[in-house]
Amino acid sequence: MTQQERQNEPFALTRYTPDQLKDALRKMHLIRKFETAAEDSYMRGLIHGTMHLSIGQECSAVGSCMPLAASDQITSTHRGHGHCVAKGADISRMFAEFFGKETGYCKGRGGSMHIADIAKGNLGANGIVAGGIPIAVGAALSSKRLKTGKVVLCFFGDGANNEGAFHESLNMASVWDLPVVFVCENNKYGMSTSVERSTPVKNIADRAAAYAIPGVAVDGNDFNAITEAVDRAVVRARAGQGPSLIESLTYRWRGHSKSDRNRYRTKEEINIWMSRDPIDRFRSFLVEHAVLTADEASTIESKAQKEIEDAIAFAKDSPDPQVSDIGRDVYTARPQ
Amino acid sequence: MNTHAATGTRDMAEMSYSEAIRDAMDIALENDSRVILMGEDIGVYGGAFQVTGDLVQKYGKERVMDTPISELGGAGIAVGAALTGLRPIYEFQFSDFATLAMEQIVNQAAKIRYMLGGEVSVPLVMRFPAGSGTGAAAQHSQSLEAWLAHVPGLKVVMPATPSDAKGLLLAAIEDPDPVMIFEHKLLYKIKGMVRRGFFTSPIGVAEIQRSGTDVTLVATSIMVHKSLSAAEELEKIGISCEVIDLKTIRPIDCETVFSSVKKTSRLVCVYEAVKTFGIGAEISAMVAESPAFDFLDAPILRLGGADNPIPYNSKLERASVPQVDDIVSRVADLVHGKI
Amino acid sequence: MDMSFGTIASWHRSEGDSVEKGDALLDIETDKATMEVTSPGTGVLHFVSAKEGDVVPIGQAIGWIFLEGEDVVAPVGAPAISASRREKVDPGSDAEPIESAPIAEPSADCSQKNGIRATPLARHLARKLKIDLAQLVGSGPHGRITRTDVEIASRQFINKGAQQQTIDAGRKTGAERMAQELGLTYKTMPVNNMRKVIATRLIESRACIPHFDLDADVELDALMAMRNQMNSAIDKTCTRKISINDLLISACAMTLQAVPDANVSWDGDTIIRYDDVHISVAVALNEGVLTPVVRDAQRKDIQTISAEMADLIIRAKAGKLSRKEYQGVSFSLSNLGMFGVKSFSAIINPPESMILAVGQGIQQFIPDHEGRPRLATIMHVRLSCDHRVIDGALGAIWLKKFKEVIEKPTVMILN
Repeated sequence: MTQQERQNEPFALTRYTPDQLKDALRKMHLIRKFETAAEDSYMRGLIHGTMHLSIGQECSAVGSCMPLAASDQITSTHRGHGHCVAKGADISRMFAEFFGKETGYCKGRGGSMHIADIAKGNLGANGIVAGGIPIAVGAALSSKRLKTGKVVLCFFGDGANNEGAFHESLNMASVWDLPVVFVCENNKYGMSTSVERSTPVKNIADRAAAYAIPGVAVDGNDFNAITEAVDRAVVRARAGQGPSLIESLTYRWRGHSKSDRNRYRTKEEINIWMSRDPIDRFRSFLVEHAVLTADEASTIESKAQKEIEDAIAFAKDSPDPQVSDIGRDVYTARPQ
Repeated sequence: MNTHAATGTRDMAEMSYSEAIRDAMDIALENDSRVILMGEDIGVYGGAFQVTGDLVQKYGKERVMDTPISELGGAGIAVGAALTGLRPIYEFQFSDFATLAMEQIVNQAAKIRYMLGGEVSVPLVMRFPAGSGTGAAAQHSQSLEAWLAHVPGLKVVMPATPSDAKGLLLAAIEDPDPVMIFEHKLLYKIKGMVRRGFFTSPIGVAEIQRSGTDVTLVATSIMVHKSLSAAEELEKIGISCEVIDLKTIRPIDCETVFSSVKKTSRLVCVYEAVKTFGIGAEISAMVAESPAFDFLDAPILRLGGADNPIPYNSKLERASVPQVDDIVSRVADLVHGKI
Repeated sequence: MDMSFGTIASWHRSEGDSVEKGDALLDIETDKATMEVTSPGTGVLHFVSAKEGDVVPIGQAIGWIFLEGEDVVAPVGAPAISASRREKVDPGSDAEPIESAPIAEPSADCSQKNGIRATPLARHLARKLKIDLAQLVGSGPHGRITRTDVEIASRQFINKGAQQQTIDAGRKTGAERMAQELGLTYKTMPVNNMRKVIATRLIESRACIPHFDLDADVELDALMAMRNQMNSAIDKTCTRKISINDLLISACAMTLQAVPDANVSWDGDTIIRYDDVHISVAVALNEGVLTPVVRDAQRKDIQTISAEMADLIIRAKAGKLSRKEYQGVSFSLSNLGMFGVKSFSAIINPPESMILAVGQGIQQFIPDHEGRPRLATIMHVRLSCDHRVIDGALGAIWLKKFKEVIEKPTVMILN
């Protein structure tokens, strides 16, 4: 391959091995199937509370996490199942948490909105819009002070871009040149309020200018686009050049949460986005570039389905937490 | 002077409350490279109340970090840093500004460990210069400790003496959970004997500062000093007060309070924060629910701040929080069966 | 001293006036004093049915207070009172919560077992020492029983010895059962705290105190003459007249001062002898009887005693006396002369050691020194004494001295 040909090749193919790309496809399927099974469990009354599904945003989650090293860290949001899977979480423990079981990631104390996987570098989803942004900056501060070389990727939604915490965090991350990458997943609506109605700048990425950091808006449903943008930001962060803001344009197929009646958008709009399924898009891209065959792709999908079924079985069979342990971990138990 | 006392004296130094805090931070910065200080104007300025002083010269801007005026973001960064290996000590310029950071303190710092099933802890220390008496009016004089004490997951301490200011701060830095330290601004200048070097005062342990038989005064922070002065006055009219310095309001040391109430049969709670829904209500209810209830021979009395914002005028400002004379007269009335 | 009627002295408010709870509404005159009636509620005064000068039985409505904006409809009967939030103005009762008299609790509490005010520690000790709190009078604010009260009570019970553990005023006498058996019609009424205290203390007195009585006839003419002279002398400057009772209080005080051995209380292992003279005077109330005390009476002149007594009576009837004001120590005076009683026995009010029962002064012929009939006003008195501290001779000396003072009353002025 000539230098010229390599430059014209899609980014993903130059940067990742076929196995890595196949794993990316597997993760996208896992996310989709996790969300679908979660929704199904909810409908059948197996779990309570609420959930925020990321169906339609799988590529954004997986593509953003691709450039990260295993030791790098992320902070996530209430719509965080995808981020969790993308950072390598065990879906059995995710389902167990979802079912409120002692074997879950948070031992049944956190639920859907607080799944974290510290060992894999996932510092946790967050129930507060923009709540995780300063925490990500703090983690980046630790990386810099303790010289661990870690980069922190901070996921948040379009709704968070109007919270004070977003602005304060970007400002301080920039002032101190911290190794953090801000990924704003713009799925067009903060609950029901569209970005057009809530945000005066054309792109949320334009906010970066206010903090003198790079800002770029990319198609989050295009694996190459999102992963390339994040990769560039991660390289920059790791080099000690400070933070970046990436706006990942995407769309959630489902409502905000289980109480959503979809009154703020049209069926047509949803259908258009559903017809541009990001997983199909990535799969076609991989088949087209001979990374895998259509059959191999189908196998990956069916294996993912099996993984989901096993995970649900594990979750169902797991024990509930003991009521007597209700106060455990409010504080750290210390030897007397 | 015997040998023991001589050794004791050599180990001690007289220092002010703010010097004691600075000494504690100095020791922590020296001993543990994970410790950092964060806050507004804590660097070359030395802190609004000159508590951090010249620590920046000794440890550099990287470890004594001036933050922009961004309480919410700053607090959140401290939470994130604590979560990932640092030991931040975050100074609010005034405790009143903590209201800007409540999200991070209440929803994040306090809950992360529990929400994540005990997988992590948040070893964070926050310092809150609090209280009235400086003529700074309603937005710079509050005592909001009960707000934070209401939140499971936080520890809230209120040192009253230079020694405890140092010992409790060093204990807080060692503690794996978030510890909120309320420092009364009028105490910064008071002096006392403090042990040299590293030591900790236990969090969650109250101390009887004066023994007595007729009435128990449970006080916090500056009110410990006011209660002790009141106790001197009351002794002249034959009333013997037991004064308890609560030191920590969460977790609260109920047993010390219960034993004292069982002994004296009368309970008065003295605190500067607004009386309504405050620490006094908690202590009163705690005693009322405990076996000490049967030992009460008089109604429980709360002496707390008035139900108004702290006013600017100094006469009004003084009238807004309990003063020594108020404590003397109310306690005398209680002991004399007039209440 | 009984009060079943009141005279409307004056109205401070009239028909249609807005009034606030606690405002002075009217003055009522009794045989002893004029008292102010305050508004039991806030609203507008309507249907004032008693004019100034009218004599009205206690309990009769003399006006109605309607809530602001309430339809002013003539109240027809008693049920309307409770159905509506209108307040009835009643000349004899002050609906204000009674602050300082512990035995006059709000009626809702009186029938309840837990209507007793006591500190947790007092309750705890009472349970431990098996003391019935209902029998104690609290020394704390609002009559609250404290640890000290229980401890004192406990010592008293111990001092009384083994023959008596507790005094049970609440024991059934069988009256109701008998009435049912006989098919009589009756109503049951709740026992208020004051009645409970009276019952308990007097059972205790009768059971524990070895009473003996000394009778004497006393000539009253000189005293009455002196009273008339005093009243005509002060008539122009003062509206309040000296009563026979005021003079009797003064005479008792003077006698006790002269016989200090009788100014005592029995206290188990000790005898308490008081430095000053404190005279309790029985005052009948609607709900029972109280004994307000004229303190240091030997140091007070008759006019002072008279004024003080008038004030004590008013406040006793209004339920406004503090406990200390009716806590006697050694001596009580009980006068039923105004009811036409000739002579009677009274029961000593512990820890006092004497009570003087005074009957009506009656004109009768008695022989003079030459054996000829002479008209005189004779008053019968009976002195009941606690034999534990007062022997017969001491009682007799007291009574002799008392008779001398009454019959030569000018000594009262001279002193």
